[in-house]
Amino acid sequence: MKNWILALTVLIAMPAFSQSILTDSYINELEQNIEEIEALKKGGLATEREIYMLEYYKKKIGEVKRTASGAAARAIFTTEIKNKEPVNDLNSVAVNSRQVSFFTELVNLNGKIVTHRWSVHGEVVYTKDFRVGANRWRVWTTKTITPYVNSMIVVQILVNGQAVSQETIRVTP
Amino acid sequence: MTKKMMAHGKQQRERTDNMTDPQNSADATISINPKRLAVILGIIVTLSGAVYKTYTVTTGYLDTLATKVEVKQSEINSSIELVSVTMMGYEDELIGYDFLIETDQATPADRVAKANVERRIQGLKEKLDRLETRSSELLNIQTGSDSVGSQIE
Repeated sequence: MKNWILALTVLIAMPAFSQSILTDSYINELEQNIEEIEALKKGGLATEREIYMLEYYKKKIGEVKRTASGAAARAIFTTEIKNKEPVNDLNSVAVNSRQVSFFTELVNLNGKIVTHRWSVHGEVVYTKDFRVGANRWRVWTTKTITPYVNSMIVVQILVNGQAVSQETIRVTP
Repeated sequence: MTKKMMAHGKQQRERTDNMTDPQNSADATISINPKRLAVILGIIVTLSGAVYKTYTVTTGYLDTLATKVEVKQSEINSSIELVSVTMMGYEDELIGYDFLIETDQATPADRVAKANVERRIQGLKEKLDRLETRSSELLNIQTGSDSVGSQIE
């Protein structure tokens, strides 16, 4: 009976283990690449491409570590969403666009409640909660912007009620 | 062993005699039943204890078991992780090819390899989308709500 329970527990827990093992092994691979290129660089043997890749690996390892514990891999303002993807990435939006969408790709936040909280001049103007259904989950909210000309719109991303990051966009005339 | 059995048989006969004798039948009831009662009660208590223990162990075990939906979602999450990590590997390769092309160092073979990597990344992205959709469908079955969607306020 005990063995049976143990076998089933291992079977159920396996996906969780394999999940962290995969990410960990990728992080390990990046660390090894960084180490190797730095050794080459030290000896003056690194090529231009390797030096370029070194910077890329350093940036990438930070991103992977950040998202491993759950984060928004992408947080983008866009004019429209098509097939669950943003059509563009906006820094500002003209008021005649009438509305703007805020898109997020959530990674490793399965089972958590993620909120998009829209604010203008410190006042919350719209809030929407989402229950994350998988380790990769894309959600978006869309807001009419007509009343907010010349204002900065701030959208906060909350995970289980805790603000984790925010993005801003200016509404231009 | 045989002596014991003989003695036991003798006792049984005496008990039967006592019970059939109307004068001794009351005494016989008093002398036999408490022991038997104690034994029966002991068995009942032991059995009920065993049944209760089995019940608590079984329910405790059942509580630890995941539902079918949970197991399915766990599988999907593992697949998502696997596809994501594979995709990141291809993205690394792509960056290398991009550098070669931007610096005019790329050979025709590098350009073809880049196109192949891009195709693979696209295939993996589609796989990720399908996995996300499957998880969304599972969630809909479980909660009757759709978590992925556009909201206009």
